[in-house]
Amino acid sequence: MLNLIQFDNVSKVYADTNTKALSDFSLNIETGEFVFIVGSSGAGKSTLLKLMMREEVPTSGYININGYDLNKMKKREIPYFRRTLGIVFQDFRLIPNMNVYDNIAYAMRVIGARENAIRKRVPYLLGLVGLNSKARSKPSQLSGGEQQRVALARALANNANMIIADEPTGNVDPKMSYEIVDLLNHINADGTTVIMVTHDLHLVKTFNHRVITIKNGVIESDCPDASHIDVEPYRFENPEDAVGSYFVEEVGEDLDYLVENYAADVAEEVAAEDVSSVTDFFSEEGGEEE
Amino acid sequence: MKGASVGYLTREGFRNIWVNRLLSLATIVVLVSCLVIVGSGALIFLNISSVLDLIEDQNVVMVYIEDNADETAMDTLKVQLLALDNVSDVQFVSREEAFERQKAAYGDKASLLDGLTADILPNAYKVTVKDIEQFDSTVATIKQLENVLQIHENSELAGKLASIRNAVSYISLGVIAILFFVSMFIVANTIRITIFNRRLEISIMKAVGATNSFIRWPFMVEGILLGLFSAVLALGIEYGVYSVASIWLSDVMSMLGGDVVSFNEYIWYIFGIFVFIGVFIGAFGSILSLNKYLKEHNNVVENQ
Ligand SMILES: Nc1ncnc2c1ncn2[C@@H]1O[C@H](COP(=O)(O)OP(=O)(O)OP(=O)(O)O)[C@@H](O)[C@H]1O
Ligand SMILES: [Mg+2]
Repeated sequence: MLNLIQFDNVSKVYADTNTKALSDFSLNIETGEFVFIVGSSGAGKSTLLKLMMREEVPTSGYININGYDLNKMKKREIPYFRRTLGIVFQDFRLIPNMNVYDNIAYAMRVIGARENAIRKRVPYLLGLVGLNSKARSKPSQLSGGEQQRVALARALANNANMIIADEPTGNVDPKMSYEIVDLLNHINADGTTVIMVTHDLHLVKTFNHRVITIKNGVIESDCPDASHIDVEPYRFENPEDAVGSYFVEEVGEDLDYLVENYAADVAEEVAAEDVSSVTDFFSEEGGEEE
Repeated sequence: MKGASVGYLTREGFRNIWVNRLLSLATIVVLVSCLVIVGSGALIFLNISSVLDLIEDQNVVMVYIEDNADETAMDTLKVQLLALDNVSDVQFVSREEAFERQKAAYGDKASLLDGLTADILPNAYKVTVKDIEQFDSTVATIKQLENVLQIHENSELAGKLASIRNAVSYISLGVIAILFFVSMFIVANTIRITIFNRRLEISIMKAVGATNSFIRWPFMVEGILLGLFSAVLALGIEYGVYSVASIWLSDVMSMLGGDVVSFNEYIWYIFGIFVFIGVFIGAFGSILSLNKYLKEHNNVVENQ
């Protein structure tokens, strides 16, 4: 498989504060992977993502992303490189006075896309994130989870082949977090690589993908699944809620999808038991949230 | 950039102006004031110039000729005078002519000259000098020539005129330079506020891979449009102001024997200057602000 992301002995020292954020960091991520990056505050997770999107440059070491050698990249090439990434922010970054449609279209307009290409692509993306009916809504009229889905659609607008998300669920409640990562899972299933930083270990446990743990700027562990993480996965009383209201018409299909792809145990539980009697995970363990 | 994009970006520029309409209005008011001051300065300069031209045209030196000079000597002198760089015209004034003029000047008291003949006066050449600043050296050269009896000149006036012209042009240049920077600062500040208002959009543009020229264009358009609007408005106001001022100016000018400089004669120059200054200031004001912003806020991910 192709190496999509390659870090060789990368160190990053922030000169102004003389902070060593990453030390001799090496990492490979292949096309199509879904990777969670976890670690305590200040461990260097955001720094890692900033190096990936060429917002920061390494103090030493080699970085190659999507075939771009970031060490050799010229300033004027950065925009073209960024078009191959879909960047998602914790605070959504939707433009408040533009409706959902225009927020997504905006990403295409500012790279010079033609209006008829935009008219074709945006409805497709809206369908993908299940927000066709909200095309004319303003961000303020949406829930946090819906806003982040709009942001995801925007990140995908220019055909990025990877999503880089720094705590995309940091500002929403667990149910919406689940919705967002579930959507990321769908997108990943279509071949898009997903790199996601999170503090929510329940999510990591639920979706059970490769987990990279960073501590003090070095990789503490890199596991192909979440079996080593000792927390409860999320479960929901109502599977329709669990998979998000945007898939209402395909709930059955979506449960199959859940069983097939991830959180197999949760989905099996949900599918096996009488749906209405499944305990509400959040009423019991909501206090565990950070 | 493709055609469609240019259209889109230009609309964005217009949108910036409309979204910040109060600020845009304030900026236009300041820019128009600056342009009107610059234009008024230019018109005052043009009028003073035309007065100076008028006076300079009358700037003649009377070169009196020795009585014993014969026809050939006088002709030689004339050729020598005409050969001087700074001399534009040489007219012969015979003693008879001069005497008649003198009589006319005495008017009622012309009888005082009764019994006198033209012989008491010398023949003369009326020499017109081109550049008033070199007046003194020209006069000195003429004094060296043969058969020159005496020179009647008014070098003090010449010097004064030259220094007035210099002072006027330096002051105008100074005022224009100051206003130029003031306007640039005002536009830069307006664009800075627009940028601040649109920092979210800028961070999104950077994240999705918009090129810097794409990010810049709407702000450039905004700055240039502010400059253009101001130029057109300033031209109209200048026209009004000058029409009113002309009424008063024409009295002064006719006293000096001239006419007010006509606005229409210079309208395209003035408009050209206004548009040039407006567009230049608009474009550079916005580039200044944006470069500063893009340098300082190069982050895509940081929370705001
Ligand atoms: N722009 C910067 N200038 C100076 N130091 C920085 C900068 N950004 C991060 N740091 C420092 O680098 C270290 C790693 O920061 P980083 O943001 O990568 O942590 P993180 O793992 O994302 O933490 P969190 O979970 O709180 O987001 C921290 O000590 C931080 O203070
Ligand atoms: Mg972080």
